[in-house]
Amino acid sequence: MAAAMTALLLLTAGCEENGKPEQKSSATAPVKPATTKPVTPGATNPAAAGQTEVKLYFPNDAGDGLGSVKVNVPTDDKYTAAVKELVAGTKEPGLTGIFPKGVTVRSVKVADGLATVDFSKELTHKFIGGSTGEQMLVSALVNTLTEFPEVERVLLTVEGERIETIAGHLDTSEPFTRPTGLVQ
Amino acid sequence: MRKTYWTRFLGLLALCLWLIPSIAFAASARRVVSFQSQVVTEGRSSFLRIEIGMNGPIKDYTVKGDGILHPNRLTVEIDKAEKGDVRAEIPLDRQFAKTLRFQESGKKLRVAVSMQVPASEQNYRVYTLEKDRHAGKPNRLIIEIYGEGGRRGHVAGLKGRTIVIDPGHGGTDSGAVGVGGIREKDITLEVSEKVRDILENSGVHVVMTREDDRDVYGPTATDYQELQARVDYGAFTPNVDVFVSIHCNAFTSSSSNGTATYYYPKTWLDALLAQNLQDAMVEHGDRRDRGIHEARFYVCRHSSMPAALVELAFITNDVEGYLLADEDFQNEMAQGIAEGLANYFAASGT
Repeated sequence: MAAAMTALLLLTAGCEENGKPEQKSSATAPVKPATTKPVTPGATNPAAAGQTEVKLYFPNDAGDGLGSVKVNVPTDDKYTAAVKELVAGTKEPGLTGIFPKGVTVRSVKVADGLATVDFSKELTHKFIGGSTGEQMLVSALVNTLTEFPEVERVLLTVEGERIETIAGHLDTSEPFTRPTGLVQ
Repeated sequence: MRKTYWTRFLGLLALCLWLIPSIAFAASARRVVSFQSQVVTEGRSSFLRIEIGMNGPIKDYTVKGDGILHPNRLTVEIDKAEKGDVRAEIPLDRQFAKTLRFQESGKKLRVAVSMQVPASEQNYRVYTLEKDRHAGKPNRLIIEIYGEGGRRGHVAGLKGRTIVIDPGHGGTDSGAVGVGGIREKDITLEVSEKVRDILENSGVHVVMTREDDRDVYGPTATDYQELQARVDYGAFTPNVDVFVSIHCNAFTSSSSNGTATYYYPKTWLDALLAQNLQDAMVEHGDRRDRGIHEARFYVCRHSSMPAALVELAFITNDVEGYLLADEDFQNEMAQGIAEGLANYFAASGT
């Protein structure tokens, strides 16, 4: 499974470089990575001025892989906007949101390849999910942010402080890279 | 007046008559005073239980089985004991054992049971019970004989190991909450206790990070203190072979299901442990095999010995939530974990 997931992560990453990114396209089946599926013709709006297209990763319903969804976000606030979209969840069939209810994104700062994402305390207090949930949350976040070429590592903090764990499984005290450190 | 003297005299005489044989018995050997055998059924397994009553505490005895000449013969030698009035050869149920023979040899009493399966460690159990005045039972030597597949709750190849079992969550941390309000912390403790019982039956020194519903460090602990307190059980117990943390999985989507095991590769042994646990759990629990995953899990990463975190099944899945609360499923998973540990020790050569 770990190998399959790694393959998936690499494949999805590779596909974006090859294909021309299309608006509002998605990939739902991570084990069979049919990545870009254009939605109804005419619904594709090119990124407007001041907008950037970002690829968001969400866990699949089985909790054993990620699928992606593309959205446009304001360029000047793209990191925070991308994470806020992740937290908001998705209606894409076969994919699921993983962030707990009520959690807010306090800030996303990027410096020297490190993205530090600061959440409100609900991240740990209201989290529903075991090992799989934690792993999916972290991998969705890390995969989404490392889509930006300038981001190599992602550190989670809560109310400005480093956390040891979200709910008692993953050690979150140090930054995660994609995909090593989490799934290899 | 005379009557009183006579009564006293008679009383004294009775006391002497009562004391003489007692003193004589204390000096002589133990003697068999009762014999009983019956097939006992516990849950889905049954076994033959033999009770040999003796007229005093049974102190020294040795058990031998698995001999080269007579592999099916189980021999128990009781020091300083005699056969008494029981028959020398007693036919047994034939399903589990054919006969039992008593033979005096020097100052020893030899009890030989011819079993239907090889007299290896997992196929029998020998222990003693104290005199029970309420039940009117004497001191007893108990011999339990098991059939094909051996004793439930006993796994060969684990004797002498030291294993830390960490029931996930507890106390103020209920862990994930699943269908019908079942709490991860309760399931993990119940399964851990079953694992502990099997391991202890199999000769393992088991160290539990918690044995009731509590925070291991304390209710006000930080996550770091709480997780480190669990790791410390491994660090501060001498010669710990492995650390196993037992959890239930959870996910936002209720369709997510299956059994998984996580490890952090400190050495090659961590993945080997995870794989052996995973395989045996899937074999016993028959849930979807989600495989083993390398992950930076606190308790795995910070334990100095090989460690794994098992996720029995998904508490958030309708079917598996029900199974996790089910006694039979818990027993299967516990048996799987114990067998997985034995397979790991065999495979690692450690």
